[in-house]
Amino acid sequence: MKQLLLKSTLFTIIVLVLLLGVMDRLFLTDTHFNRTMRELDRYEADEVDIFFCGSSHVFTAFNPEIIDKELHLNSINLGSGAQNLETTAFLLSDILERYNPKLIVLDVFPGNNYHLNAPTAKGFQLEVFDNLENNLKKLKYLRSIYSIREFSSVLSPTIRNHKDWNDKLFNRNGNTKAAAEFVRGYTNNPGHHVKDESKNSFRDFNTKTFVYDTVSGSLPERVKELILQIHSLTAEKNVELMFVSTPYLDWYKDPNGNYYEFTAAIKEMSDSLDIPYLNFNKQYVALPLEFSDFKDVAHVNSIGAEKVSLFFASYLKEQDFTFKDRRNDSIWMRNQSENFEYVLKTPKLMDRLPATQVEYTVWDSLKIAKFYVHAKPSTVTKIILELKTPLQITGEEYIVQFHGKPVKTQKRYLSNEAKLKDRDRNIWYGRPALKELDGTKYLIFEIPASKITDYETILLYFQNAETLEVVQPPLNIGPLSLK
Amino acid sequence: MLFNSLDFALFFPVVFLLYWTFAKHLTVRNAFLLAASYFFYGWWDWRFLFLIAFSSLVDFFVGKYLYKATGNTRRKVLLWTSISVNIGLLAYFKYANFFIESFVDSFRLFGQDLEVAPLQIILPVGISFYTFQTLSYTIDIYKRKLEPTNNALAFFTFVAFFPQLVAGPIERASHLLPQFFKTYKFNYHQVKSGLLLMAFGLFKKMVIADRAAILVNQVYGDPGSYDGYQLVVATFFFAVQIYCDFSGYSDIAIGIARTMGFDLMKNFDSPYFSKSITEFWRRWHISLSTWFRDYVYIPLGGSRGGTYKTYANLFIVFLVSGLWHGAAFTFVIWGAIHGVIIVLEKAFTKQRENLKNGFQKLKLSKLYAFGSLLVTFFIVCVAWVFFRAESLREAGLILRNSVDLNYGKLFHGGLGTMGLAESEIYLLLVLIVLLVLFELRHRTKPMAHYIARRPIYVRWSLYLVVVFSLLLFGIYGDDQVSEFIYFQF
Repeated sequence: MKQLLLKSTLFTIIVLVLLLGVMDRLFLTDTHFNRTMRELDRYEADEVDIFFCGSSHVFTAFNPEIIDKELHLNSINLGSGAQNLETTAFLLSDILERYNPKLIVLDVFPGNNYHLNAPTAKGFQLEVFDNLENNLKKLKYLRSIYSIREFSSVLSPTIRNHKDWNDKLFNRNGNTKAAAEFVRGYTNNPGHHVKDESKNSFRDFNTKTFVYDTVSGSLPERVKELILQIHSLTAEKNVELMFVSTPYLDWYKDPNGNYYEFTAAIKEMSDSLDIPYLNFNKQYVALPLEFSDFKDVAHVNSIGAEKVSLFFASYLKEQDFTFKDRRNDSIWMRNQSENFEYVLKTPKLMDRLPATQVEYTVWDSLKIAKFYVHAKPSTVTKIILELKTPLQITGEEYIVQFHGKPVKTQKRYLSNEAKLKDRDRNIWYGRPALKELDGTKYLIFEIPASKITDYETILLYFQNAETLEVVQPPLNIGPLSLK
Repeated sequence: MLFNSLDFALFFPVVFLLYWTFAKHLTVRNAFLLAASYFFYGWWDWRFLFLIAFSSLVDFFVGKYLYKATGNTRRKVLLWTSISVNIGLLAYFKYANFFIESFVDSFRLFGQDLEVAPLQIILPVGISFYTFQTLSYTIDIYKRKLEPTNNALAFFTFVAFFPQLVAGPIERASHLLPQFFKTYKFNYHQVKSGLLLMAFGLFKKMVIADRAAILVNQVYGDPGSYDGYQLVVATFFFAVQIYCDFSGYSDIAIGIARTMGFDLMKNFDSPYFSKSITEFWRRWHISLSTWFRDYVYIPLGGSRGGTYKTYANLFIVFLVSGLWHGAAFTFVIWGAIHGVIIVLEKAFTKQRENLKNGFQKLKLSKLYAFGSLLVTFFIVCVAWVFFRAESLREAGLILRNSVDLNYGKLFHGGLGTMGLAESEIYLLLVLIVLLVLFELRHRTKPMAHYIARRPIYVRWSLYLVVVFSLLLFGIYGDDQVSEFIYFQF
């Protein structure tokens, strides 16, 4: 019996080591929060200035690319799908052990209570817990949320996600589209708009007046406890806390609770605890926010996020929040070099991009002078065409076909579609957008990320978006290295 | 409780450790085993524990008085008491609705519509198995092949022994009951071999059978929506599923019993390698086919009443076997197909021998063997259609449509439309090939011995592969733990 117990204990330990140490990493649920935490690992303890905490409201609204550029600081968006206050409190207790930020921005809205009670929100919390170190504290905490039957799958992503073995083991490209939209925890879908029927239901969203003083506040007891817990934690760590209510359309018809009572109570709390509170649902005119800025009734889209982020940055400036100026920090500069807008505005950085001088005319309507590539690691690659003679075009007149033929040694990186069709090149289609910066006009379109760094040839075919007529011959870029 | 559930994963180690703690004290050990077995069964529905206890009680006392009884009439009365109680319970729980529906249908044939509502009956899991097991006890005593036991605890434990309680192997009292009167010493190698067998059984069930089941359930759930080649693929996968499901269960049952020192009979012996249906039934569900041989075929007269009587007896046995599997005409037809083929094989024994000799002379015996194997597998698969189909009408539809084969479509998108992703189907095919190779090798060199002789790093690597295959490729989870097919019989 001793031999059996000894060997089975040893075998169990080996199984657990392989499971937790190897397999669970491979089978981790593919969420944007994983990327956030991997990104965070690159920062030293005092390199992050702001953490944004909350649910999808948060990760779709606060774009660190904009906020960091405006305020010259480093921020990380820790929002995750249906993240509840219990999880936020636990996450912050972990994060504040490792980082010394200046400010924690906490999203508050009646959904905080819904997320605490809804069984469907239970699964979402694992997005966060999967990324926190396994220890007794975490185990004890998880035990308070999940039943014994759920526990094996809660603790092990392998057990939870084993049905996706094919993707997890053999098709690990991940969601490149999601990666493309990801910026230090922020992610959003460009071009998504709220449906027409919702527009009708929530047509009053920006006209409803809201006066805190007219409503007596009330918060669910547990929500109150958790907010106070977060407040004590931040106070203990000497970190400032700020409440925000991110904008959403159905705030005045919130199915999760009475918005007026909830936010009035938050306001009372913020006043009594001296915590700043920025309620975006009172700022529709100032922002300004329209239907076109929302992707659905609960979230802003990328245009809305840009407005929210800019407004937030200017609010912090107005409120005299002082942060360390990070402009000379390597991590800030690296982040900005990945920030496409910043690159476009910075001649020094534009000059560093792989580029080729060209002389190419498309139906006399536009002339192209220079071809640039802006490849952001593991996300989309932006193709930038500098226009020689800026004419009255919108960019939407054209469809651009990108034919990228890699050098022989990189043919293995061709897309699955190219391999399937036995092509020697990747072919992508794009509808370019026109940007004007400092008097220079650019046509810009995106192609998916690829491991290809050396092209034998790049051909661009211009097609009339209406007639589908194609200009011949194509623009031939010739060999180009992205390294 | 299912062997492939988290409940059992917690239950078994506790039972195993406590069992070996009590192993030296026979009465305590048996009492513990009985309690564990009742707990195991009661986990599903405790109310039916009374049924097992009642069945055990009747046969315990019938066995006792049967042995003492001298008069022929008295002995027969006692035997029929046991048969009536056991078969009566089985008939009520399993066949009552079948008989009612058949009765109504037969009236409908004559234009009479009877309004009879079906009875609301839950079929107690494993009733067919423990009923046959306990019946073997009284019949063997009647035949004076066995002496009854005076130890009620041992007898009750024999009837309810949890590893084989719900889906066999159907043990004979002469083999299993004496084992409850022995104490066992802990034997590391025996326990290890039992655990390996359990792991192999779980692998067959969770990785192969349950994966195949997804496709089979989808196609057989709506056979009219699928092309012929898809129905053929689904039938092939059902053949794989039912084998891996049932033999997997038997392996786990035998493995569990072995870890506690008990020996259960072999239930499967690579049946799809059979070269005739007769041979198939010597390899498939051996504990049931030998039960029918001993307690139905031989009492009917076996082969002693001349050629036609033998054929009739064989046919009856398979018809009854079909009915034992399920209260539906599809099962009866399934049994009848096997019965007819076995009768034909017996009738044409000489001709088959001549054909075999002819191939031998041409030095093509391997081709003959392979051809026989394919033909046997084909017949088994045709019969499985009736076994699996929801009704005779659907079985007919599947067989009719299966003739229309357009395999070109199979590899042009048709494969992935049967409820299982293409990658899952390819994985399944690889696993089936590995299983065939494993069984081929196992026939000449038992794999357990082969593995035992490998160096420790090879053995442990292999064990790790099995564990991680179960974790990664097993079909499990809240919505996916599936019952063993034979639980319903």
